[in-house]
Amino acid sequence: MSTIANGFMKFLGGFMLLYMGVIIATYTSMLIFSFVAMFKEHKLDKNVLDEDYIDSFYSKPLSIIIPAYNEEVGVVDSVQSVLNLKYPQTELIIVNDGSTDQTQQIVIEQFRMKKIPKVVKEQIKSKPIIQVYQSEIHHNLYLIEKENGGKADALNAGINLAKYPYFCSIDGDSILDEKSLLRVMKPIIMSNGEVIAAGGNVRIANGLDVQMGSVSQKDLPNRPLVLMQIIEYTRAFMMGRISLSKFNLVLIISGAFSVFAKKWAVAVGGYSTQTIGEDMELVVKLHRFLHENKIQKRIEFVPDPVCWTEAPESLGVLRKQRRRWHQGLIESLAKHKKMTLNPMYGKIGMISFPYFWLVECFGPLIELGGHIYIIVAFFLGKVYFEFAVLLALLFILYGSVLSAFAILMETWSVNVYSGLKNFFKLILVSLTEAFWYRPLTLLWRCEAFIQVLMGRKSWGNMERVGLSKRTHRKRSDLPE
Amino acid sequence: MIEISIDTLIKGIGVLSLIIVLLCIYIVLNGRREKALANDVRTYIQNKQDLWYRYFNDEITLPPELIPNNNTDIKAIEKIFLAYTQNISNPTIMEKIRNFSNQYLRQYYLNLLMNKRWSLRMNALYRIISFRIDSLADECKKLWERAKLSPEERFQLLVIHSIFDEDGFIREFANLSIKLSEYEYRKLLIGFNSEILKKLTNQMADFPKEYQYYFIDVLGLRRNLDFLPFLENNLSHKDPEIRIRSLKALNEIGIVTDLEQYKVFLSSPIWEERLMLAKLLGSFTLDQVYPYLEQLLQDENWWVRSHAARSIGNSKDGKLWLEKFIATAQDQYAIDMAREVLEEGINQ
Amino acid sequence: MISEYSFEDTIAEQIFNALRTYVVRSRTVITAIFLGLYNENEFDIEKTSEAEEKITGFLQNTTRKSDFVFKFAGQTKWFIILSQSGEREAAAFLRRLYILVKEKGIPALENYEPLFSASMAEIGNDEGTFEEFIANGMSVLADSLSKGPQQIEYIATYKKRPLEMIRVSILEENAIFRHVLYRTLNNLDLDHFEMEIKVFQDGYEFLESDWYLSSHTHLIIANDILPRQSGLDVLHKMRMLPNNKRFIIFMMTKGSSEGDMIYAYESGADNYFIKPFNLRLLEVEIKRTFERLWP
Repeated sequence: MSTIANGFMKFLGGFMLLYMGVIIATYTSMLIFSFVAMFKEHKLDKNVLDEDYIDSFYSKPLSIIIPAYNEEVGVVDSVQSVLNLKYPQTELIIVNDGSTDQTQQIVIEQFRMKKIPKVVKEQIKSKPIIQVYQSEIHHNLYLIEKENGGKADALNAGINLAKYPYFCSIDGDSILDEKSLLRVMKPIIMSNGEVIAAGGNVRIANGLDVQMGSVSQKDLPNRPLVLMQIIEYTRAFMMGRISLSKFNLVLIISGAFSVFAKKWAVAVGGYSTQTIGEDMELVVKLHRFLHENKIQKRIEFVPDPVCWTEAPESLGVLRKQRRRWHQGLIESLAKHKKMTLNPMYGKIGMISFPYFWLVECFGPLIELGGHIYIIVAFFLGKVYFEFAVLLALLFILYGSVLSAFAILMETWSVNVYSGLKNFFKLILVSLTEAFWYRPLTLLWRCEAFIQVLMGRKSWGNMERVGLSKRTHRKRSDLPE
Repeated sequence: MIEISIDTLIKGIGVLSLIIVLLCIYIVLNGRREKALANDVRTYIQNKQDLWYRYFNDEITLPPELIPNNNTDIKAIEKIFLAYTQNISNPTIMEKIRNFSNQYLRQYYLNLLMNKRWSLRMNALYRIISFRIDSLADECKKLWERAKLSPEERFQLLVIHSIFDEDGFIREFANLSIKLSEYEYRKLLIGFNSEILKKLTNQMADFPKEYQYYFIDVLGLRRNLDFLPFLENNLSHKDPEIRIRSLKALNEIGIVTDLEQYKVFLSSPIWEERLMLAKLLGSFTLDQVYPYLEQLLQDENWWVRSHAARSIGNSKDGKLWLEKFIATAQDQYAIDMAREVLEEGINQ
Repeated sequence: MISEYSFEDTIAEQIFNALRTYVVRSRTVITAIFLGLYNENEFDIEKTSEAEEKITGFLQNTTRKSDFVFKFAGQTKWFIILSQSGEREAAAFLRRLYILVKEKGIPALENYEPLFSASMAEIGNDEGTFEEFIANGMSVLADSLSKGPQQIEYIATYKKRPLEMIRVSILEENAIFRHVLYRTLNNLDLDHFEMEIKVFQDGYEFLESDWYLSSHTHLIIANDILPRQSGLDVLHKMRMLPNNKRFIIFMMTKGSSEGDMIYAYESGADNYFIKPFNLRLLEVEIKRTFERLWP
């Protein structure tokens, strides 16, 4: 091999190693930060504060918006679970974004909705609203029928109708725990108005027993793909979100379950209909607005509350989902790229953005490159063989070992997936991550770059299977 | 160089894997232990809750079986006490809980107060408040003097201070150096009876203005007529926020004495004041206030129009007034609003 | 047992039994009056039946449309059923009757001032046969007549209301408080009712059981928020059932928003308790509610 190629390979190898080193260091420190934060709160009796919030005297009223597009399978359960929630003063707004299935009819029938002549003040522009309905059984339950405009547009319509100072958005097929709202509103209530948005932990519900909108028995499914996603979510939340939140560096609050102060959301124009990752886009816009106007507010993440959602069970659907997410990430970062390393945007600009660019956004490309490098170097001979092994080990460290630690931390602290069997299932599968799951997701995320370059957009029509229908309905013993 | 690195890495991964295995074992064992503990607590509760019931209801004097022998007992008793204090309001039972805690649980909570872990100290503070363990009041005072306290602990200590030494607390309240959040302030005030609150109204002017705002909010929630003079006096305060909140509190108390003092808000440049006025006027009969509500119904602000319409609609014969308005008015926005409220009323 | 008494109107027994069943079912009371003439000997023997007819007619006019007057066959005695009155009202009625007859006499019956005496029985249960009842009433009527004119003798045998079985359901998440509620209700002593209590930890468990499917009067004490299916949900579902009036629903709540309270009442709750609340209050409200069921 020529010296140039030699040098090139060496340089590339060195770069990869350095990059992986930085990533591992970053994630390890995040893991440690998260652990410290969780350790502090570990034995705290959280019920005391819960009892307080439930008294409407302390808590802030909340509008809950559920955008729905062809959710006929899961929408009733989702709404039911929200109606079951422990929180004073809420209103629930279902937004039917021009569904082509029976979503609207099922909702109207199940909850006895009647048309009401509501004058909706358009604070954020959205596609026209055709009709507003109100339930006869639950006076705080509304349905907006509107022209199709995408999830962001549906949310904006919901915000326009919402009458309370805070709103929260939940996906049509997500289910909340009865204490979820209490927990996610905690930073907002306790902070004296300083926290203007908060996100909650999202868990995967596939294979779990869902009854009357309440998740009880938690026996994990056996499908590796689903297990892998559980681990991935756990890792992302346990490590990433918790530590980012501590330093007010949060850029992504999951769209599946997040609360915003209406005033500020309206001030930045609500959700963008132009980007795919509308949740991240809103958070970035908020940070931007706050910094540009020199306002000191925070956006936090709470590990306790639980939102259960349906994860894709097939590779094809998962691929579409991951591609879409990454595409959203790229678009948001690109749209606000001037915030990168811009001192005007404080920690967000100087730390968050570079982190997201380097690690989250381009990371997959580099990692994928690393995988290719390993394969190539493997065949090229001695020195490179060692490079390859080194790199591979780093990938294992990064992928499997860190994941295992995240699972450990999750079991120790929140312990949602209780039981020995579940625990070992997760640990064992997490150790295999580096060998199959990670490369796949890397590939898909890199595909997102192609999507962006080719200018493709979609809301992503994931086939909803519906949680209750699929899982075996059985009576379970409730944990005390 | 690379070889060393590979070697170290493999060793490193091996070590980490070992750590993972050890942690696994730890977590499993810990889980088992906690499950066993939870079981013991549950057993205690099942066996003794009936005795507790009889003791609390004066059927028997304190039986020796109820005196705790170990921490498991105490944890179970804690659960039982919490169930009672959170669900039942009964001074006799509260007194029994207080006496029992003072006598038998004092040492346990004292130890927790001095624990290294923040979460355990916080739990102890919570219980001192819930069970009214005044035998630890002095220790709490000593804790307050400590420099290294977290803000959460400080607040709980404040609450404790306000419960066990009300007068002392009020005296020091004005000079409090730490700043309280809205939630904390409300939580403190909500515990005070109306007498104390009345005493505080005299000092209110000296307090920082946020406190004044929250204070007014609390008065509104208390709904006590004694506060009317104070609130009505605030209507001419120079700070608009105080005026608005006082209007809101008056609205919540729901009794309005003199219409004249509200008329000035009709022409206020601040829409929130006109909004509160629209709500308040709902307490008068339409014969008295219709002209004013009609004016507000044609206000430039959507919210003011909305509430004016609602105030009309919810009053006696409101529907008729609304219909008359729709028939004769010119302002299209107002007509739309009136119509919406009218139809809403029909659909209810 | 062949009765020595019979009525001119043979439907008397049927009506009486029907009313007695009704008494128990809808928790009302009726009163039966046995009326006789102290001075029946003053009649002209030829004119007896004519006089009796006139008196029967008079009695029918003086009583309400919902009351019944039957004349005994072969005797100058009457059996009156007041289907909307208890003892006191019946006694007042009798006294009015006595005075009316004394002052104005009976229309178309001149030269005769009837002096009545009576025995009466307030009826709260449906025990005993019709024959026994009549025999009893007539025997006491004889006592009454022997004491003089314008007497009233009371029969207390049929007054006692039967113990009604009611079902109670407690829906509460906290196990300890659930137990407290159970004990408190168990200790409660209601005059005419006997309680059978079951506890549930949430709405789902309650609805899955068929405990609420009987026709018993059913008291439900439920927390508004519960793990699976809230108390509010249960409230709605109960109120949509046929014969939902048998449900008496008390809601408990932790939050204290007035809007929630109004909503609960509008949805059909009968009472609303904000935690923490005094258990004595709950006891008193339950007692009050059930006492109201019997007039």
